[in-house]
Amino acid sequence: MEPAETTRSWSVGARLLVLILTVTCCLMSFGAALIYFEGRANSQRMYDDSLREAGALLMQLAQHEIEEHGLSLGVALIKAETLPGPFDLRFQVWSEDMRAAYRTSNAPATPFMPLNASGYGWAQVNGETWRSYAVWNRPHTLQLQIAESLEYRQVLPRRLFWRLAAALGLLLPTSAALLWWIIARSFGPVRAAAEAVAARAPDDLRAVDARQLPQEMAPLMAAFNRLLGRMRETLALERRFTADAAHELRTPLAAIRANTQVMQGARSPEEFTTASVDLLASVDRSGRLIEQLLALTRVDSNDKLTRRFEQIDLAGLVHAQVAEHERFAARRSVVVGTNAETARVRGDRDLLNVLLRNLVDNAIRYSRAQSRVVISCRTLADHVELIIDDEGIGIAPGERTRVFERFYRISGTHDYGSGLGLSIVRRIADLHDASIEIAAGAQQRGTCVTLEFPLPGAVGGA
Amino acid sequence: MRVLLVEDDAMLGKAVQTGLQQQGHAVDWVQDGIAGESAALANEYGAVLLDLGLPRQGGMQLLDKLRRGGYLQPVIIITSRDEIPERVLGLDAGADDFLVKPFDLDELGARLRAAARRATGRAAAVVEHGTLRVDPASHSVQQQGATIALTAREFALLLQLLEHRGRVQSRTQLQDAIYSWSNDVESNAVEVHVHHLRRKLGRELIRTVHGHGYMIDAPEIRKVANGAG
Repeated sequence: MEPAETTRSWSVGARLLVLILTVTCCLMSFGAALIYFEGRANSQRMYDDSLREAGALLMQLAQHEIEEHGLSLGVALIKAETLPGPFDLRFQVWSEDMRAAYRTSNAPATPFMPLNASGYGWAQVNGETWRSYAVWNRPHTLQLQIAESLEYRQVLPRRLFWRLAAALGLLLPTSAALLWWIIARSFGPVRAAAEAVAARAPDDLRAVDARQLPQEMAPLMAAFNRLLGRMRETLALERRFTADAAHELRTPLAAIRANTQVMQGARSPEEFTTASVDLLASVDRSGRLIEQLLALTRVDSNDKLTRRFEQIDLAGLVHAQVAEHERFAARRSVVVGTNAETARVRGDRDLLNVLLRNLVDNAIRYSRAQSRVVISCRTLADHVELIIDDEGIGIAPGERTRVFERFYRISGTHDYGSGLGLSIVRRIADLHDASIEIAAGAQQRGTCVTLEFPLPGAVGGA
Repeated sequence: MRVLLVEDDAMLGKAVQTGLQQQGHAVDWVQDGIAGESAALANEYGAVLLDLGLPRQGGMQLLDKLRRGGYLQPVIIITSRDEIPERVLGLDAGADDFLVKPFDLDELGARLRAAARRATGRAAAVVEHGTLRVDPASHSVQQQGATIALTAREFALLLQLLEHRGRVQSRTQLQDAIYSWSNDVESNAVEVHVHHLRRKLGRELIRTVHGHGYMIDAPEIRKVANGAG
């Protein structure tokens, strides 16, 4: 489909087909050659045997002839045509004194082989090499020499050759087709799985059924299914977050709408004023919620921002946040003190500011009037410590981990927190490899939030 | 009508309470599921407005408990979850209606009236009694075509008596129906309102049942008509 998919990719099926076919072809040819050469050697032995038998038979006939009629002086020519075909056999019968007694008409007048020879040999006939055989009679008075054309001896091996060639010609395409079919069948489930995945809806992240797939695919499929599982979780989280966010926004929106309608139908100036104050508070609350949602989205999308990290002194950020919250603290009659020593960490300035702002804001918001909030930071032997300590309403031990969950609000607090502040803090702490812990404040009153950052030299080693 | 509002969000709760008061209802407002349960069982409400995400006891759990205990008053769910399964679950658990935040206070009022109307077995939006015509939606009362001005309390009292025609309503019942907890009620408030109603609508309409309370008689003609049908 896409060019990127086809370039430089190769097919296991095609490769297997070509390799197996090549190997099959070589093995079959080797086998055929073996059969051919063995067959040819056998046929040569068989021809030799029949040549010897023919020689012996002819010798007996010639001896019988000579015993009956005596050795004639002339050469008795035997008409070659009278011999039954298809043998192209030529023979000569010689006496001891080199006189030819008989020969076939097409046999040369000179002996095929030297006269003292016996057994198999080679003869030159009309410029060709023939297979020859010489045999003596028992009293050693007559010698018969017989020769046979090599041309004739090629008939059987040639027939064998063509039969083998035909068999190979039939077997190779058949096995190619068979191989192709087997390979196609073997890859069928893989193709089917690929088609099933391709035909899926974009949000269908169910695991692929790997039971039909070959074992060799198992590690890949397992990895793929693990990835799908992670994506499924992420998507579910995202969906829940969107649903939760919509849910959280609806209540302040409903309050805005209801207060507006109350103002429209106000029966007294007091009712109007109360509703307008509440309306403004609801608008502020929606605004803060949206801001926190955006902050959380920003933190969430900043997964790989380690490279933007720089060395930052937390003391400077603490002083800045205290100054920023001065008016808010004064309005609530809360005294904010600092105890900030040099505390260098590696981090993102904006995110650390968001973290501090949320923690300082919480501390002041949930403090009683005339109470103190103390923010301190310092460098210790193996970590950097940041503590926000207040004397406020505190967080029950059972809720100290739950408050980090998104949209979790402590029941009974009729305040309009977004329920997101501490999950943002936790997320930023995680990005900085910092641990965060909530405990009761000094004298078991209020809340004490402790963050432990790694020393600047220790970060980024992994 | 006296309404119980169970909503944990302070700003929304306060606004809905005020808004419904403007429409002439007496509204009791509680902020968690446990308080909602005891309030619903302790008082006679014309309808219950129930948020689902409540502390201490969820709205759905509260509704389920009430319905299992045979609670018959109409319950309207107000929630910020608008997924269909949520609605189905709510209605199946025994809710009479479902309203998604943010909602319109007028629509909420209309749905309250509709729910209350169905609860009293009446289909028409307007209550008619002889020559008397009472429209809960517009808070208007007409007698022989002439519009009669009533205060919110008088109207609520008249509607309460009309919706329970043929049955005696005790003074406490009537007082509960038109006043919420937050109202400081004079001991003779009901008598005063009845007195005003009689002055405006004639002496015969509301009958005093000595030692028990007040009632409006069921119309004879309708009974005959019903019997014939």
